[in-house]
Amino acid sequence: MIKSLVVFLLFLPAVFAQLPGFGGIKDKLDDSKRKAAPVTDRAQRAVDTFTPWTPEEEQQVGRAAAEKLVAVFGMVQNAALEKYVNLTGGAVAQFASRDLPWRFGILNTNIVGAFALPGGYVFITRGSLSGMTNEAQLAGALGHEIEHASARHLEEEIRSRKTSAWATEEAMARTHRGPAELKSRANALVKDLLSTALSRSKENDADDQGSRMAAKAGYAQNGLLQFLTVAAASNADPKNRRFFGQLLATHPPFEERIARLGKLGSTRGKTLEGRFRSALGR
Amino acid sequence: MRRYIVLSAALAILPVFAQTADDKQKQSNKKQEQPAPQEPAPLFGGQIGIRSSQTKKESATLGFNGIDPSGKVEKRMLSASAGEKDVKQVRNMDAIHPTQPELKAFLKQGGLKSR
Repeated sequence: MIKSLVVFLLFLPAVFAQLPGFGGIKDKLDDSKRKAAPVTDRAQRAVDTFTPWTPEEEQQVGRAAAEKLVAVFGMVQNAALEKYVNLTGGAVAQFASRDLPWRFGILNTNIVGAFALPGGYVFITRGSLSGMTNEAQLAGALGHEIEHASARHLEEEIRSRKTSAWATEEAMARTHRGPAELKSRANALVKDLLSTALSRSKENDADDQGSRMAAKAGYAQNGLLQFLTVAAASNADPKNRRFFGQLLATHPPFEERIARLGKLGSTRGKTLEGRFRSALGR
Repeated sequence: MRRYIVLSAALAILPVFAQTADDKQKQSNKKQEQPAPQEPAPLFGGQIGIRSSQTKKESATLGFNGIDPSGKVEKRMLSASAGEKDVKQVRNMDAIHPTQPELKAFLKQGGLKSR
């Protein structure tokens, strides 16, 4: 008797669900749940889009974006040269506003440029190195990127753009964490990195602070200025313009930067031309 | 008789002139064979003395693989996915990161400052 009663009670909800009135109530409850979910997601995404990364997230995203950037351009494989670039970057990064695990790499492309990713990943291109003549120029260019990463310029800039593919991926990744989301977040970040111009104030800040950091380390403060001057002269020849297209699409014109940096003054400091030439095998 | 003496003297001297002219020609040829004074390598696009740079398709197209004529990265390049090799190369960046003693030695060698 008791056994029959238990079985009846177990099946009771299913029996009620089949009745027209009760079934309707259940459907309405399910429907309201479905409608409420996207609203919650949207609100959560909006919050997440404006929430800065934790240091761990910054490292994760930086590494995934670095892998993507290396997949796009390839990397120069020369341990001695890579070490040299890391030492020069390390000398400048001592004076960065944030202490990050700085890692510097050389991208295997002729285009002139350098890129800073979250978490302290900095890349300079083979094309940039080929146009430099001393270590102070390299220090200035790396200093510019170190400031971008220290001040989280890219993250701030893209987060502020509602149309950015990265902002959408970012919000999705926060809602659904996992390797696939991290990868798609990194893809969107690199896409923005290669196509997005940061604000003038961020670029000016990177030029100024980057040059100052290099000077604090003992390099000639005008290293970046020297490099940009050579680059501008080279870009004046139409056959060389292809080297600079990427850089000029995402940065202010050379003349503007040269004029600003010229006002910083002080050309004292080391240029270390011999060490640079030797490291590059010239 | 005097005329013969002058003529024989002229004939005797002729090979000397011919030899001088020949020497001049040889010298000029030598000059042409000498390599022109080496011009400095062009900045941007010049090689940077890398012996073991990664060989990708890029080398076949003078380093502009995936870059459009205006110098921007082509969209198809952006679709490249990171493979095992790329992951390994980025991981290797941690290994190349200099130690504190290495950095100190580098600063000292260049007469640079430490914080």
